[in-house]
Amino acid sequence: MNDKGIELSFGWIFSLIVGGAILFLAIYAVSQLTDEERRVQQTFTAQELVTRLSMLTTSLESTIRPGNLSFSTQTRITPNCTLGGQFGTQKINVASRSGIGAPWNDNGIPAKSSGLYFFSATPSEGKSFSMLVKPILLPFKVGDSVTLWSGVSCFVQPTAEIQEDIALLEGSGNKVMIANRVQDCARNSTVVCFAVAGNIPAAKSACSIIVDVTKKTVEKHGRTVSYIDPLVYAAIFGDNELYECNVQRIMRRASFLAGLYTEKSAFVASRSQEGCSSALQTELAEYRSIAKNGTSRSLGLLLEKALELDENNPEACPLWKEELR
Amino acid sequence: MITSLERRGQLKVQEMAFVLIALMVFFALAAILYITIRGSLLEQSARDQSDEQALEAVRQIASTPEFTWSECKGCIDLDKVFLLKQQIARDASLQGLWDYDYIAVESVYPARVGGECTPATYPACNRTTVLLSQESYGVAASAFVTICRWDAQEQTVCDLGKLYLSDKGRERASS
Repeated sequence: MNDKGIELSFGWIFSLIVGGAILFLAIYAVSQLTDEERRVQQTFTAQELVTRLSMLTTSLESTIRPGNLSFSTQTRITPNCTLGGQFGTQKINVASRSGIGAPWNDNGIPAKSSGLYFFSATPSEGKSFSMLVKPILLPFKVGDSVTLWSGVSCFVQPTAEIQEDIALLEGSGNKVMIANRVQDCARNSTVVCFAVAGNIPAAKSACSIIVDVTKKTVEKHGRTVSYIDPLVYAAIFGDNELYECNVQRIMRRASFLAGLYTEKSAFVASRSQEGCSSALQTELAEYRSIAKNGTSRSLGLLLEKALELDENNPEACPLWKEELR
Repeated sequence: MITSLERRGQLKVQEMAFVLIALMVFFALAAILYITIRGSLLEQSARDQSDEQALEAVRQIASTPEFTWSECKGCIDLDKVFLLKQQIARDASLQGLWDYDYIAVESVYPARVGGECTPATYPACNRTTVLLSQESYGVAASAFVTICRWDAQEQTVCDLGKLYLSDKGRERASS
């Protein structure tokens, strides 16, 4: 017989096992509830973010609008774009930094919008983000591009228009510095070189992103995308795939609107006593066919057609009033 | 034969079991209470957010390129809205253009009669239902807007109107 062993009564064993089980269940329940609470919070944040961004895009402003987005904790914004449906969908997920366990909490339910064109890195992380909202006029308003970024960037020899846009960010936490030489850029910044007629202002290897303002292309991570002026920041700061997907959504929207304006042209002409004509119909049909299944490569061609349409938009009874130039 | 010591032991085990069961029941009740309160708060805040969203959506839809009259902020181009209605009537796939069940524009002032706008009655009518994907669309959010169109003499005619919108998500959140 072993006299040195600890003798536990049935009561002790029972209470240890059941007490342990209760404690385990309580800890599990609390952790689940905390996770759920965070998920709910992040879902609300994503929804609120999309609502606020949509509010920025609903004005008739035809100029660029700067903005700043700040969160109380480190936040990860993950945009996603799908082409399903008529105009495709923009989805945005928000996750906050976690103090325990995994570095980031799980994403909440994504917020969706069919009228938002949001561009950023996937994901974009930070506490404070810079933002630029630019109207997309082709030649009528198709929507607004919302571009968001968090890191510091250095624009080397940008065009005068871009310098003017960046100057607008001064009051709202500007994270873009302008330099004449790559050497003047901050060490941890993303160097964006602007090339005119193929002349890059620095060694190609020193530039993280190369913007060719003559060819209207942006070269980034070994891939080149085309842009038009309202989408230049989207092409610079946006993820390549996200950019391409959203450009296709913009094209679809432009094509649909061209169809609507074609009908409006015939409708106004049929009721007019003062001679409003439906002369734009052929051009609108050509515009539609370019935009229908267009990609970023068709943007230049679409812009040409848009300029033609803008010139021929009748002054007496214009189909749209937006000024492209 | 059961001794008094064994009987006392059994009683103690039973007491402990009862206390544990009572404890479990207490925790279960507390959890149910918490979940109920939390659920109702969550539902309320979801409803509040969806109401806010619905109002924002009305403002937003008035400013979408398909609706907007580009000469003034928040104004609606009635010609475009009417043509959009006809397009949607021709092509059912266009019903999914926006995630709403119901979108309509009504002329409020000056008072007009004529009911729903059709190709035969336009513009002598007072209501254009752009989208009606379900018969029961619930309570529609609304906002006053200015509705404009070209008249036959190429002049802009603007009325005070109301834009109605019922959101699928909102209905789900309210139900």
